Amino acid sequence: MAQIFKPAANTAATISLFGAAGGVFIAFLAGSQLTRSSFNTKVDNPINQPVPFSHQHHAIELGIDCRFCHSSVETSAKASVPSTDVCMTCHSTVWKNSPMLAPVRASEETGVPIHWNKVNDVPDFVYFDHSIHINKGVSCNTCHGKIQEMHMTAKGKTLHMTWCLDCHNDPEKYILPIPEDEMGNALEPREQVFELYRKLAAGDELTSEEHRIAEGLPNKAPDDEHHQAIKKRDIKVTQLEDCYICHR
Amino acid sequence: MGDHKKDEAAVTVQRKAYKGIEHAQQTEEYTQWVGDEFPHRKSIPDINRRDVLKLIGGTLALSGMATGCRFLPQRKIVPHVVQPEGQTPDEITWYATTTELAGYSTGVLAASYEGRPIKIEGNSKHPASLGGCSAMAMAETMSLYDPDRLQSPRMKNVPNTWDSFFSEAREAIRHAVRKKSRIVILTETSGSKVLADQIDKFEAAVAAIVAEIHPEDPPANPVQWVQFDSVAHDNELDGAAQAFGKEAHSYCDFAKAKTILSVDADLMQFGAAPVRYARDIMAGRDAESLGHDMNRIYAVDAYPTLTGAAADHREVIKPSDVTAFLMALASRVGVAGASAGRATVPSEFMDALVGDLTSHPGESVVSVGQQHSKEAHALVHAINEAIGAIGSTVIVTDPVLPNTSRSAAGADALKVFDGRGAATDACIFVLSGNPSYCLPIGNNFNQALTGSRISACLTSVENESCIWSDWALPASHFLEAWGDGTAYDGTASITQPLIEPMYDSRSAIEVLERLAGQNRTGEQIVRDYWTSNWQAAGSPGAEQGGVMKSGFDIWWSNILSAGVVPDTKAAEVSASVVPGLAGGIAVPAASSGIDLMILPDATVYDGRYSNNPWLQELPKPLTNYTWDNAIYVSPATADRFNLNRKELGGSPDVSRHIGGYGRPMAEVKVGIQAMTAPAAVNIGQADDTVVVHLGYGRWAAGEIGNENGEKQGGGFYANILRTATNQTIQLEGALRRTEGFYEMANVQFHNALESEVIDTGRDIVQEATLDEILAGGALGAAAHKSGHGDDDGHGEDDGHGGEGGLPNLYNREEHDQSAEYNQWAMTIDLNLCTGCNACTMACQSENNIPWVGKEQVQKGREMHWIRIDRYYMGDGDSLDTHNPDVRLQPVTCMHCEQAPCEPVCPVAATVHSKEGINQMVYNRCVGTRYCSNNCPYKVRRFNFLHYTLKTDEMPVLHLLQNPDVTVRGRGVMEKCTYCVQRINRARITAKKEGRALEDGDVVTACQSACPTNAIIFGDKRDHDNAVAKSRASRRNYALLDEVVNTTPRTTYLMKVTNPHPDLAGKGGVSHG
Repeated sequence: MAQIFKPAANTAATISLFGAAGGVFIAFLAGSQLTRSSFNTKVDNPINQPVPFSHQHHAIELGIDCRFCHSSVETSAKASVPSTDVCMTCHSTVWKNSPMLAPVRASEETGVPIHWNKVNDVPDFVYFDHSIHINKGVSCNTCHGKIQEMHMTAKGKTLHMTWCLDCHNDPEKYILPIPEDEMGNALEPREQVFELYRKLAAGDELTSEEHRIAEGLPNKAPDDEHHQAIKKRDIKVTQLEDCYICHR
Repeated sequence: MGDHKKDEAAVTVQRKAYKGIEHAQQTEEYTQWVGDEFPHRKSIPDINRRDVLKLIGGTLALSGMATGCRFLPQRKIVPHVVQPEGQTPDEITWYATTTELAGYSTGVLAASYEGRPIKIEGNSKHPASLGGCSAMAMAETMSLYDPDRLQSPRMKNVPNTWDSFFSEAREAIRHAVRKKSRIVILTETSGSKVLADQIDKFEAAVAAIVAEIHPEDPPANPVQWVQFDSVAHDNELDGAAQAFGKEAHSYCDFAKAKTILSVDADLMQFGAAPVRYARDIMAGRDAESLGHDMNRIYAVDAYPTLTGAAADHREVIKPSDVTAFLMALASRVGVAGASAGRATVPSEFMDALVGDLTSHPGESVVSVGQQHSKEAHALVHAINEAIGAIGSTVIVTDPVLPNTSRSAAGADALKVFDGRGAATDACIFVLSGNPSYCLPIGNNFNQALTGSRISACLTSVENESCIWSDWALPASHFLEAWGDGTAYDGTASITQPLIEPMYDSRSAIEVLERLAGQNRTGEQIVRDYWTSNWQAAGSPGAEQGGVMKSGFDIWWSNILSAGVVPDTKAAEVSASVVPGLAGGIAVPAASSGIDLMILPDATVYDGRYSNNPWLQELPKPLTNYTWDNAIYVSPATADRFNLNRKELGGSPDVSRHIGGYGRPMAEVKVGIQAMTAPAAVNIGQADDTVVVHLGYGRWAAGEIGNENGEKQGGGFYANILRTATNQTIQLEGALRRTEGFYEMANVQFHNALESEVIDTGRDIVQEATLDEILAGGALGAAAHKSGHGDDDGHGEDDGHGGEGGLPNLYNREEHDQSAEYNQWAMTIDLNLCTGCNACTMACQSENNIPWVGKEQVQKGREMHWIRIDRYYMGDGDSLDTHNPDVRLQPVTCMHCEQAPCEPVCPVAATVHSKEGINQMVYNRCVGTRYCSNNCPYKVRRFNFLHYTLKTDEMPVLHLLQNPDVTVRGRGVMEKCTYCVQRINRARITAKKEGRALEDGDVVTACQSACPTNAIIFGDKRDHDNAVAKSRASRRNYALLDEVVNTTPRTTYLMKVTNPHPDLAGKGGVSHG
């Protein structure tokens, strides 16, 4: 009786055995990569909004301070999205007939608020407080990415818990030394946050560290100066890992 | 059980804490609850091993699919169109406003989060609150967001408009005037001067119509303002009028009292100022700073009250003996004309009491419950005068409420409805209250409602009265409406809204405004009234914030922000008791029958809170029943009438009773009226006395409050036992057992500390006498261990001994002082705790704790994070069930430094924070419940079903939730967090201000609510902090610490008793 399997069948068997194991592995890898991909996390995927608002235009080209619109970012957990009348402070005279701004004018006329699509969202069991981060000198870009380059607003970071912990474990990588003004007086850390955008708008040169922050990236190898910055800001690093800091 | 005692040994018999009779008798039910983690396991269907494996496999296979991965929905951000001035997103703003109950108001602060009220706390500037708050007031946010609220006016159950109501009402008013009939405005007693003013204005408007229609020979004004309360002040008002010969109001100043006698008075729960009274009474018990000036409380009760539980000496008498007791007391303290009469209490008790009352002239006070007769109240005034209390501890003023008409008169006025003009031509406007449910039997008011020309009922949630009325009108909640109120001492305060009415609702003053043909808003009405009644009229204006403001505007914004109108406290008047008063009061002969006492319910009051699930599920103080009322009898009476569970006919079906709390049905009958309800045994109640509570058995209360039978509770109709003349106490009732059982939901044995197993019980609730405090040295269990260690035979040498035990290698105290972080700790002072349950409600409101329903409570699944354990103190192995001492102990997560729950969690969902908090991470929890199993204090709560489902499904209940706290779903363990959301807020604020947290920056919800400041919370590192001082007290002890070595962060301060030297123990002679 002729052999059913030719010698090549050995190879096929080996390949299929490893292939089966590898297939599972690849499927697992693919799944895990998929959940981390921007397909799932929506990082850098702009979301359609009723009004195509450009942060790049307003914050950098026009040099409007973040706090003009996000008025409670220094004082409250919520940065706050501006009310219609804040938009209309300028747009009642500037671009007042633009079709892009029709929803804003409609909102003012009808009294129905604009329904923006939320870009950066965390689960309900996570309690993020904008004000304390700003007051300790954490830049907007550290969490929101390169907002100065966004024509359409997109999520800048994954906002996964592991990503939060990157900074909560090693905040010195994300914090710049306390800056000084021309007179040599220390600036408030929160002023430092907004100083970055002033520089960007004015086209001033950034230090390499500031550049990393503006890119939304951590600085490497923290040195003494950085640790000093943590100390001066009274950031208690070990406590930042407590569950109750963010969950309650 | 006397054989246990050795007569010759002069040792103190060790006191032992019993959870109840069942504990003392070791009934099957009790042992099941204490010994079994799943006492309700019989309710779980029988299932074999194979099916279990199948289910586990299926669950495992499907679990990932069902809940594992999902895309979060795209959410919206909806900013304002115009940002309201002064409102910052995510910031909580507190506004002072006023709540009213029984005519008297209490100042509260209401939290507004982005425009919606989320929490109520006491207003420290208001005399009736001083910062404390009652459970009922705190539950008002639940009432505000009640999904059953009326949303628009309805005519004969069809939605309609306010405009058509007003036009129909005005036409009906003209008709009534034409036919010379009556226009009845029916309200509850209210301290609102604006309401009285609005009724005056309405009367004037009707007078104009009368003058127009009957220009010659105008009839008397047809408007009649009738006040009717289910829980009336009639006896107090009548008693004061009888005693002083004029209408008068009186209240007590317990802060000055060294001796307090409470005669069936639930001072700290009901009445004009329960929160303030609790503060003053308990502040007088600070043994360490007051020493011999600590007050001594005597209670003479027919029914266990919170005052009785706090008392140093308590005697039990029947309600029908109260007048006799007071008369005897009057004769002893020297009231002219009083005769000693028959003895109702032991003579030793009377001697001690009289000695204390008379030896501190001006520093003693006697108070009697509002349910007792006017003669009793008059006698109390006479006694108070004799002991020098009037003008010192009892303040007499002119009446403080704008209308002092009596409820009984109101009920009568409503009964005889054909006095003037035909009833069919009359108009009836019910502006508050629920007379169709509350009015005594024999009243044809419902027929009047249906037969009148127009009848309308203003109510927040549909009730019985609006079912009978033509019009059901939605009432604004007090958090939506302007108004005012009067406190127990006459202090006026304003009710200001935090939110626009959510529905098409109006307040009573706004309805009257339109009925009178005017059209001001509620705010204008209140402002106008106070503009014309402003004391400091003409004071100059000033510039504020760049705007020129008138003097009134400045004054107005000040009183709104303070929550109190200054200088409105009623002036004290001199009052003397009319001579010969006592001689004119007849003392009823001793009654041999059954006395019946009808009282307001501790949680749903007279039924007004029936549809509030928070209050329905709040355990009733001392009895710990939820969701139902019952016929309460003493143990001896239960024996006599065969009302005990153990005497069931046939073989008892244990499974039926283990989950719930089955009670035999009984019938109590007065005249021809009978109420059938389960009979519940209440230790410390007078024999041959039946107590029933109002507020249950409602049939049109809404989804929660309706009479829903065994599954859902809702209780039994007690108003059926009332007559117009006799609303609170009736004699010669009949009691008998009837067929069947009824499952109650009682939480007393749930989460029981296994005192039987782990210790003698003495260590759980520790106490000391005043003499022991003053003598110095160790107190409580520590003293007991050193002094009588050999006597108790329960095994001292188990290695857990206090100072003599194993040495601790780790100096925790030193470590804490040097710690970098705040180290949070709490103390609960058992000497100040009254057991009022305010903390439980505050916690429920603050922490989004769901209610679970009666059936789940029966299974022991109630979710309250803080519970009040009740113990009866027995001697050794015997429990005197007639009148034992009662001890109350709030128990919540102890935040053990060596927490047994932490090492057993397989997913590290419960771990310690740097600040010493035992954190519970909901998003990590997988629901193994190992932690709860390992918790010696039984303070962890598991969400067995999706108890928050309703919250998810009903948008209006979203508004109720505290946005700072996660709403937990099914399968998640939860427990006290030390209000970490408040800690985090305070810490972030302090950090932004560049400072360290100070003592008092963090106030937990329970601490803030506590009327007596029994709960202290703070950082224990700093010795100047209140909590550190409290922990350093000799009275400080840690619950079960010596047994399980958990080193809890929450510790207790021992209760201190102040017994009279001549009386052996509380109740003195009763257990010889």
